[in-house]
Amino acid sequence: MSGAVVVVTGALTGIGDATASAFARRGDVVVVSVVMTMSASGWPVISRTLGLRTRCSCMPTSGSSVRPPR
Amino acid sequence: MHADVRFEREATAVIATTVSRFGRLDVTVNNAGTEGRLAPVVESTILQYAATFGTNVLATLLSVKHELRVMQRQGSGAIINITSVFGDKGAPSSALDVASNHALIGLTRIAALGAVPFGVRINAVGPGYVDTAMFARAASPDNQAAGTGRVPHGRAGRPDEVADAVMFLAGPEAPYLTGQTLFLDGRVKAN
Repeated sequence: MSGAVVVVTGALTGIGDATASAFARRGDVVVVSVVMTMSASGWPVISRTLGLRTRCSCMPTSGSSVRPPR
Repeated sequence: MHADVRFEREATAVIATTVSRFGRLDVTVNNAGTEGRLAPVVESTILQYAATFGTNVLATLLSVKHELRVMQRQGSGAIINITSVFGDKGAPSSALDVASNHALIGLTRIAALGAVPFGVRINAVGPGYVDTAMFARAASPDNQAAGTGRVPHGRAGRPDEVADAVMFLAGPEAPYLTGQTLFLDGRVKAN
């Protein structure tokens, strides 16, 4: 099913990160949804597994509080 | 995409942005969740309830709602909700986590029933102890060792092992599987 469009919520760490990375390695298009934290360098770290560091397309949010990622 | 899917506007935006950019939606994995504050029933509060159910149940409900609307129009798709063995077991000190994960499995079942005529499958994965930040946060090192010591496999699961289960449920190998929860717990529930 390579090339599928996949959305993973809570993808910052742990199971979500591993799942997003697995789909990406298969060649799928993966959209990750996270409550974002910033790395020390100021860049969002999206996937520790893949080692991706990328600028994110950020949406305005409702000002909700940030919670620890799963 | 920065989105807090407890808010419907943001849950909708994740799906709408994806479909607008890529034209379709094949698989979604609803993993956003929390263990909440660990407490027994007699110490649980309304605020703790709102925080735990808001993330584990409401956020998943909103995500499934908007994912399913797109997949119904497509006539295909697979949704996987990440729950926990606490969706099938009790734990006296984790009242709201247990209750919310039971609700999540119920949500998966009822959503799957409605999705069947549209060719959309909805399942859940229920991990046991998994070596994640959540596990480290929720249990002291001693409690982690005690917990994994009760696992017949003798260790916590790995995130990539959960990912493998998700990919199985999302893939073509499981066309007749819907409304189910695949528990991935190192056989804890078999005890």
